[in-house]
Amino acid sequence: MEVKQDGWIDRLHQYGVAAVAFQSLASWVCAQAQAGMPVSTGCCSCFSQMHRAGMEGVFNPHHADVLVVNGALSTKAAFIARRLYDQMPAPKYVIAFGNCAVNGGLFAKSYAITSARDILPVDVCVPGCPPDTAALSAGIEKLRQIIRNRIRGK
Amino acid sequence: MTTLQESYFMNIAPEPAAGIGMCRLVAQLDGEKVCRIDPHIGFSHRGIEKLMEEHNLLQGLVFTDKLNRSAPFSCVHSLVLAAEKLLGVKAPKRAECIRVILAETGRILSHLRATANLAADTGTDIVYPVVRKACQQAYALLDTVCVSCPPAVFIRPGGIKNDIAPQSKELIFNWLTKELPPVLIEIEELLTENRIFKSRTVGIGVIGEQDAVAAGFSGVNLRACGVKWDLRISEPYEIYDSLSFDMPVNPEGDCYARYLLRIFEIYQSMSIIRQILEMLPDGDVLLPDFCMGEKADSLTALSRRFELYGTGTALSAGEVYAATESPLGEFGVFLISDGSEKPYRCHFRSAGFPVMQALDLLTKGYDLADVRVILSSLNILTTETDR
Repeated sequence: MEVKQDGWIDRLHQYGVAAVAFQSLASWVCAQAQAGMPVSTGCCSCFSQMHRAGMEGVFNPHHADVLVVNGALSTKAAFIARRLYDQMPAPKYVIAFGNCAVNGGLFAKSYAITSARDILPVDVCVPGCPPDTAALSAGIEKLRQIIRNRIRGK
Repeated sequence: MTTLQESYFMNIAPEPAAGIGMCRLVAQLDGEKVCRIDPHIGFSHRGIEKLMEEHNLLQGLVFTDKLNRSAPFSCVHSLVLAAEKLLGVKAPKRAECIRVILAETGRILSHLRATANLAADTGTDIVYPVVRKACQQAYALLDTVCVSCPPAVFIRPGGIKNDIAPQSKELIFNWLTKELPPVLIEIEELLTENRIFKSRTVGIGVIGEQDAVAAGFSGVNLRACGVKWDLRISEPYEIYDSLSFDMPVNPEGDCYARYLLRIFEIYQSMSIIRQILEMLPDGDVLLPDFCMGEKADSLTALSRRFELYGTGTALSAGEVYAATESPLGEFGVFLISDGSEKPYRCHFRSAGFPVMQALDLLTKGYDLADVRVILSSLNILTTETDR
């Protein structure tokens, strides 16, 4: 059976009031604050920038909501990034920070580089070499928008 | 020492110490004691050496700069010297002086970062904000001095891209006399006589003179074992032979010795910059053959500029090795050229790679908690080690 999902009223009919209310509350909590875990393989290390942009930095995948990939992911490091992502509890999101993480950037032609998009479901790309704190801030705000929209069924 | 059955293995990954980068250590432990450590490298391998073969020299500078993120100008400097050796040219005196100023500024930045990382791993997080503020000041200064040119392409074969800003002499002097000394005094007050810091570093990670030489140590790590070897004095390049500065050595060979040497070297670098500022000659900063600026009045100059933009400088055939004393140690570049614009083969002698292989020797017998202290005292960067 095909289910149409184009608004919260439809979802209300489909799932009931309690479930939708819970989902909304959960989404609101998710969108308010995230703990990000940096995976750093290159030059733009973003831990201090994350603090300034309003995201708490943690070094344990079990405590993280967002995986912040920065630097060019080599094929060897890509396995580690994927493993860290798998260890994170749902709901989980990925930010690719810097040109190298987005598409390989400067090293895109190299034999050793894997694009983060090939192995991780990247939600937000923050371009720049290296990106400044304002760009990361905007990226985090974009991620919050995505979370809110996703739960509202848009 | 227990047998293999009694001991157990532990993974220390993905970032075993502050600011080192991605790396995996497989430690074999007997209780809390480390019996053996197996470093797994290659997580930051980006194939830069191979990429160098597909790009011309000016593009290659950008790749080389990405090797060492904590010290701008340090890796590019070696590549530029190698290229100049191959081309058989020598940069103007003023350009050499400015290059040395920038390299020493990079050394100060790198040593400050290394000290902050070591302090963080011994539990003194308070050094981080102090160093971060100092680094921000220094980067703002570099931005003004280089006239907003990115560090990677400022130093180039034949000199430097453009002359430094007219007010930079006063700015650098102000930085050396007013902004940097309070930071150093604060760091020294926090660490040098700190009882906890000393108990975590004195007598930890000791390596003997012969072992260090056999492993291929260089830079601060080698001088902390009492070996008098500094490329700036032993095999002087640029204008280092006309400057007077000390080569501090410390025979202890432990983490505390490395920390003391870094602080001492910062003072030496400050004195070097001050000496150069006093004798900075006037003149050109870039050889006319390598000039890509607006001054293309004749047809020959115009075609030369077009060639530089389009294909790059053709290297003369041959092979050459040039090394500089980077803040992490000896960083060397080995270039083979077949006469085209792109190097036929490029190999980097990274400073951290030989240190990585001695990690087992350095950590054997110490506690598990000492491993990250030893690692960050060695100041390894995996981006530089893995290339």
